[in-house]
Amino acid sequence: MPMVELVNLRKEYKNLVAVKGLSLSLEPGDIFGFIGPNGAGKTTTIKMLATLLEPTSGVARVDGIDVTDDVEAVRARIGYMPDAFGVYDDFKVWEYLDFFCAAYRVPRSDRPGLIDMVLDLTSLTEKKDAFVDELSRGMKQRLCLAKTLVHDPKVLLLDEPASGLDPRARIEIKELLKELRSMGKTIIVSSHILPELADFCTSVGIIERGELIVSGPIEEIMRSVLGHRVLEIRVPENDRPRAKEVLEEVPHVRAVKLVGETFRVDYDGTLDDQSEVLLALIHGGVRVQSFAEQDTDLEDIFLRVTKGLVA
Amino acid sequence: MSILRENPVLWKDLRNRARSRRRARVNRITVVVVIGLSILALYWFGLRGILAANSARLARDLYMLFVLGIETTLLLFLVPSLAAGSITQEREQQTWNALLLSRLRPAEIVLGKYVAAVLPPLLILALFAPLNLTAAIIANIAPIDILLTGLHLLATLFFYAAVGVFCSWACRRTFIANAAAFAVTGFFVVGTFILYVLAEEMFRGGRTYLVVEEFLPLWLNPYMPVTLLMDRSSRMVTPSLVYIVFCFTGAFLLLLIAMRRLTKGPKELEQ
Repeated sequence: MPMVELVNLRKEYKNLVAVKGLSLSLEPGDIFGFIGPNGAGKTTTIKMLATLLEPTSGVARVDGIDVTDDVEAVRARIGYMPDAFGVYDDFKVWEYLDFFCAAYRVPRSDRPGLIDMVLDLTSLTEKKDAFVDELSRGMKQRLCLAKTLVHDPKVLLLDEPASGLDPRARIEIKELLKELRSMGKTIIVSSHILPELADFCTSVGIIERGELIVSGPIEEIMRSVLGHRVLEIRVPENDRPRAKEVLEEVPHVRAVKLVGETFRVDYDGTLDDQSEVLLALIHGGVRVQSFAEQDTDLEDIFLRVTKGLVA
Repeated sequence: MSILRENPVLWKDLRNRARSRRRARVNRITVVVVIGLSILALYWFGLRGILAANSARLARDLYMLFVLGIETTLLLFLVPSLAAGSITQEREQQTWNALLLSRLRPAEIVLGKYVAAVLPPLLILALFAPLNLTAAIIANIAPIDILLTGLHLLATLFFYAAVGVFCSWACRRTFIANAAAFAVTGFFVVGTFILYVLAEEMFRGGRTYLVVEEFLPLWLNPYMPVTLLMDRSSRMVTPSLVYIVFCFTGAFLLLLIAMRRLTKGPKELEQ
């Protein structure tokens, strides 16, 4: 049974369709990266899963439970961290967590041990007796995450957990998410810092204007979205006219473009065929200074997909 | 009741009221000293006035001064502002959704907020109680009237706290919730008199005189029922009973509406 399942999920406001027939299925332990520009529908989708918004139509299930049928049961299974969250500044760190332990009905005798555990997990043990308003933004972010863990949820819904953080704090959050993944939590994380998502997500989904354009494991998406490679070849200036002639005659070469001092070759052959390009250049008397396949990352895919290059 | 004893919202709000990190220690000491001196002064001058009163009538006037002039006025100023920020402040500091998503029931959240707003003014009423009682004994006020006056104060406290919490649930901003709560308070304090004046004008045209005691909306004015009860010539009990029943029923209904609507989800996300 999928841990999270969305079937044709739709959310309409008065004059706006925020989410259009979104479908998705996540197994226990999956880390799903939700990518999309601002206003794409990421937060609305997450809020529907968190039972904070009611879907207009479609189904959203957490651990097999419909989010509209049994709100209490769903809330017991999820930990939700919004992009904009608040904390009680007048509380000490342990008091803040103790309050949420009580709110989640954790027995009084279990609370001290549980608080120590989540503080340890979020590396906030040293700040246990500090007042919340003395914490940095990154620490507050981790405290908020600690709060979402006190009832041991199966699913974590994290809306932009790294937004507004400095690079160090981002790395800390990333490490924390990896730790949570190792604990078997199913995590849905939205972020605009794409390389970080690629690091630890088992699958990603790109959403734009309420529609899930592509989703699946990153490797699969790259294959389906790109379908071809870009080769970067550098040759001496004198050899460039000859190199262009040779390259245009190689099979599977779709386009050749000189960008600065480097040729960008759009190539739709297989990886095995790729060596033919280099051989052709050498046989054609071109002195090759460098030959490499351009790195393609999540950012490239995102840009291609959201520019309407794939749909 | 476990809904109150084990209610983390109640204890959080009470702790927040008692301790403010942003308030400097010297300010806290000043506040404690000022409150302490005020209580001492109140008892000193209050008891002196009561004991110096050489007639039951004077003692009765002092009793009225305590109950209506000081305590009711204090409640009408203090309670709506204490209660009106209870939910809006959670929204403003973006902690409201976290509360809703916890395993707390809407009744626990609303009642926790409500009781936290009611307890500090209740403490003030408790401080006044010995003075009220001393004045009442010297003024020879009947026990049933003392009881009705006490219930009147509690009814005022519970009703206007419920108005505050309801406005806090219904509005997004603390400022607006405060304004709405004080508008309701203003209607009962001033508006009922304005209604009376307007009604009297209408009746005067018909050559009939409208008697204050019989104008029902005035029975809901927080000052009027006790005034009518303490008036030796008329001693009307009914307005007090109507006022008390109205306040307790109104408080119950307002809280019930807020709780039931909250069960359906956060209001601010319904668009």
